[in-house]
Amino acid sequence: MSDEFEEFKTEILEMLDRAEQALLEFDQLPDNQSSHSLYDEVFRAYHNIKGAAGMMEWEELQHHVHQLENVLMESKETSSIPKHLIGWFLKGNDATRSIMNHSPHSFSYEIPSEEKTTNTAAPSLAPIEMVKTTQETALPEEFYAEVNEGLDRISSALIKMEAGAGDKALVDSLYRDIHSIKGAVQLFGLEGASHLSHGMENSLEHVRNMEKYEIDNAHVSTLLLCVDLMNLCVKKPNDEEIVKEAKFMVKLLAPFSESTPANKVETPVSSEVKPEVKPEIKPEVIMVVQPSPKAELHSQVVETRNDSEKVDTTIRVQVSLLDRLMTLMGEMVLVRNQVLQYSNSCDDLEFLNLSQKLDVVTSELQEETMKTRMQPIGNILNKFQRVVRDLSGSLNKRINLVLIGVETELDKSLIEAVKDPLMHIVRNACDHGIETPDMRNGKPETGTITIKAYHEGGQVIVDISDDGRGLSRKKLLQKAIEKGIVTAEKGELMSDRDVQNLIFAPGLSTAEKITNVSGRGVGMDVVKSNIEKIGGLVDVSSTEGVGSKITLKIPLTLAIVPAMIVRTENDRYAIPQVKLVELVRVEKHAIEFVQGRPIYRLRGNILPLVNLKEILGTTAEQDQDEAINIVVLNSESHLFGMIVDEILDTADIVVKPLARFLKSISLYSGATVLGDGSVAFILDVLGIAQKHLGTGTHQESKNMNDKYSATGDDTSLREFVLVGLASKAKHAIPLSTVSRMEEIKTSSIEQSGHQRVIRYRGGILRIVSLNEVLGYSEEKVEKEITQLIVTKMDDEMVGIEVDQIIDVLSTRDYLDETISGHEVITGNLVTSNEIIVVVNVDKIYDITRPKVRHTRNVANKSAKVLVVEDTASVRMKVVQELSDSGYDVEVAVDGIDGLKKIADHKCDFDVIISDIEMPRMDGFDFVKKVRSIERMKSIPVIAFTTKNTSEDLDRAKTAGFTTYLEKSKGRLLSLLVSECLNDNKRKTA
Amino acid sequence: MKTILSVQPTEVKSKSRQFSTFTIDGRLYGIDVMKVQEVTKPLQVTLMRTAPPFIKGLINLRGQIATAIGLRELFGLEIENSSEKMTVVCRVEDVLLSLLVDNIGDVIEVEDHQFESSPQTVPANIRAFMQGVYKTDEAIMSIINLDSILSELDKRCA
Repeated sequence: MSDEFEEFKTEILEMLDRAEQALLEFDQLPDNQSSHSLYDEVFRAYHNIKGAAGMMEWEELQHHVHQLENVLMESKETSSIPKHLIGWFLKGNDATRSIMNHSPHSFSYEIPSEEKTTNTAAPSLAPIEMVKTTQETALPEEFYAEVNEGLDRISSALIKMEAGAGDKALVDSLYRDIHSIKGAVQLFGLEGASHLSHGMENSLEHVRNMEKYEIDNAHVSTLLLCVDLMNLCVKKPNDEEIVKEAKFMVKLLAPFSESTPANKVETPVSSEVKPEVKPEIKPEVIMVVQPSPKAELHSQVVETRNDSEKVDTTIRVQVSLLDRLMTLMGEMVLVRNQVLQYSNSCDDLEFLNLSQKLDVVTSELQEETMKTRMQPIGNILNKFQRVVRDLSGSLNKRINLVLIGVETELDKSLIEAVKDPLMHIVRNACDHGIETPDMRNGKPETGTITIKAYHEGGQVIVDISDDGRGLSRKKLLQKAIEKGIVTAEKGELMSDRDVQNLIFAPGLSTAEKITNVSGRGVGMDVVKSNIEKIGGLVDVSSTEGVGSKITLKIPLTLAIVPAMIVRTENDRYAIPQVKLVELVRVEKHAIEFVQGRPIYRLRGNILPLVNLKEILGTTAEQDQDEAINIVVLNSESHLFGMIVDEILDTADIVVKPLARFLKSISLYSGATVLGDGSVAFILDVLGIAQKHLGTGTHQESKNMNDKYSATGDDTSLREFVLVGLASKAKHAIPLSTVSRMEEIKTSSIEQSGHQRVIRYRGGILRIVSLNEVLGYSEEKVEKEITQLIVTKMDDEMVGIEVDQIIDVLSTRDYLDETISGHEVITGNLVTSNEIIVVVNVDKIYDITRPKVRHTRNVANKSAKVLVVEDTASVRMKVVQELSDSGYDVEVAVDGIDGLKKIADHKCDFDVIISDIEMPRMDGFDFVKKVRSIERMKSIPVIAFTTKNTSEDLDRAKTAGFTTYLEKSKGRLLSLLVSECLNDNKRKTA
Repeated sequence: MKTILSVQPTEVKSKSRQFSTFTIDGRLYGIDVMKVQEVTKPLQVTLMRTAPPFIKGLINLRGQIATAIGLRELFGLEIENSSEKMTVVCRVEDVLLSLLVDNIGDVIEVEDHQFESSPQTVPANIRAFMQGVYKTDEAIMSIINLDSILSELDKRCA
């Protein structure tokens, strides 16, 4: 029943559209000119709708259309529709749509008389009543899709115009898009969006009237902002804030529109919905008086509008339906394959003939079905125009984006899947690739990024190339070594290509500084894994100083995959063609062995081999064959060969997922049904490579993972930093406690009481010499630079000073805890050739911390502390902490209060702790005031703050703070207070 | 229609359920009939190498792929003289399982009052897959819980 109703609705809407189109065409004709065909079209539409509505027993609709039909009947003789009635009919159509949506309308059936219209000089104008049809219900999905598509087109049109490529067609289409969005959002009563679209339309008006269609940058920028805002408006139609913003934006647009009357070139279609533009002023009934439209402009719009509507013969279909179609298609291909196979062993000529026909039809059907899901890649590429434009602005670069092959089609789901990776690559190219104009030595100041999409060998290739600075081998290697992705020695030997491929390794970013555009160290590895997930490949090639090119190879579709069928023993397996590089048949004796592992010299290069039999665990060693079949496979840019018994055939296979509990068996990525109806597994080339080869990058990244998951479990892999001290034995610090390793200048070490500290990341870091702790006699050599291992435990950090950082050791060796010569030594690590002393970092914290506390407690028992802090919770915490440590604490809520407290107290405070951000008087002013008091000149004042940029801290120092402490290190406050007191005492002593 | 108007008290208490039955080693098992898609003769199985022994491989069920599960292996029963002649195809959470069994029995209708939980003496490795038993006139039927089979498969393959 509901399906029937949906169908009925669709039909009526189609008829309405036809009527509308005919009406618009009428509008173009000179007044009162007759056209039988157009008249009939309109009449037929109304008549049919009336009939259908009657059949569905929809009286309201039937009645409404009947009225329209009656009025139309009056001019049957002349077969023409008077101009002044066209608007009325169009309005009537809109009311029809409202009825269909069960939304209120108040279409006046009173027929406008000609005199009236001439009086008001608005032909499309009738006494029409409209109420704002604000619907709280969810908007139909088609609406979103339509508006989004429209907005996309607007964006790209604007950018083209900005580049000076504006012509009449472009401006018209831009105008039209804005206009139809306006219509749509007004229909659904989206207030903000309707303001915006109206404003955009107005501001573009003078552009349309110009001879040369020029538009200035500021205008484009504002309009693009409007597009963004419009998106928001549509997503959150009821958000008051957004509506306000929209109104504001319209004001911003105002200067761009000329002072010509706003509605001068309104088309009739828009003018009838016009009353909704300012619904908040007059929500009930609005009469609109418009000046007469300029005839020639008016007809232009209608003309182009018609063109586009004639071409537009598409329908919207649920993606799920297409998915289902694809699945069924897959099944059909299977059946076809089985029939063909059977026909081969059958001599019935008639049957052979039929199966041939079936084959042809199925193939064609398959192709066409695939096309239904195909979309031009331009759908996403065009969006990048905007991205590049915005980015180049914010990066102060000049970048031109060239798109080639936007019409190249691929599966919708794949388009979605490549969108983010592509976006990332384009952003990378803008950020890292293209240089700023002054850095582009000899090259044109404007950099070019080219995205080229094309079909090749059943795949879609997308090349993203830029003429920027290219990849630097040196920088890449340096970074990779730093991050532990490759070792220095290995790096030396790597080919340029391999080095360039390092950009896909996890955790590597060559951007010198992290920008908000890119460079967070994640990205290219994600790009690679996402592309490989959909069966694609990523490659990079680059020449330093000239540019880089990233190539994506994407399969056309996911559901049907071309594959090679191979046999080993009695099993058949499918290998996706994407992973297949070549097939090699060699004599048995050509196989050589390296460390017992088989290899083959493929054109001079070593090709590691695996035997499918061994992988599958069917080790029946009876190779009597003299020749060996090798399938050369590509996994993450590494080649390897797989020995199989026989190479059978190629076939288009339909990928069937495996039951979820089978996925952990990483040899297979899926299954498929072969032509004879039997099931074959699809080999997971990536999984096999990882399991049986340990290809370079993967193994490295696995190590990286281990590093973070290292636990104290005895059998598990542990990692240590090996350090050299003033002792012959090597010492090891568990890597899990290490947060960074630093090289610091000894001159930067400051003394705070007896404690050596450095400024570190906006705070202070205690430094503990491991030599001193372990009692090794340190030769007092004045070093310029010292090695610091920054350890972190429970948010507390300590810098452990060592003589030398040797290496990172990952080991499963036994940790002997029986012999420990010192309390900070956990035990000894017994490796094959040496014994390594393992340091207990926890203990270092313990023995270095209480000693200081102790001295403080005795010395400063009765010290008075003033805490100036506006946040109550922080204040309480600080007071708690300080009172616990035995201080006498007084509090103040801001600077003014603090000064009052100081004035009130006859006896002075020993230490003042002050926040910086406070109401009434901030910490800077407060400390200045304090310092201006004579007796307060030398009192320690500690800034206790979250402001920790170096500028803030410098400012704090100049303002008069003695030192500072981050709020996140609150625990150290009493320690710092005691140090300050000690310092002060020494100074005064 | 009539029964709705005059519901018997006993009918409220004990709802009847239908089970598709089969035997392994002469023992009677039942699976909720709603979960059973079909019963077939064993189809050609594609062996899955390196998989645990209870995974017999994949079969093609008119274009759909089902995983063949050896219940004997899964239950830890004797596999020496196995005589699996039939398969019961069930769908659990979108996974198509084809269970290998010896013989197929009738669809049996039982009432709730015939139900009892599995006796304590049933070995734990089989009890894990059992919902309980129904006492019929002829025999005791062990009810297989497909969900626990699936979760066990997940666990053992992980």
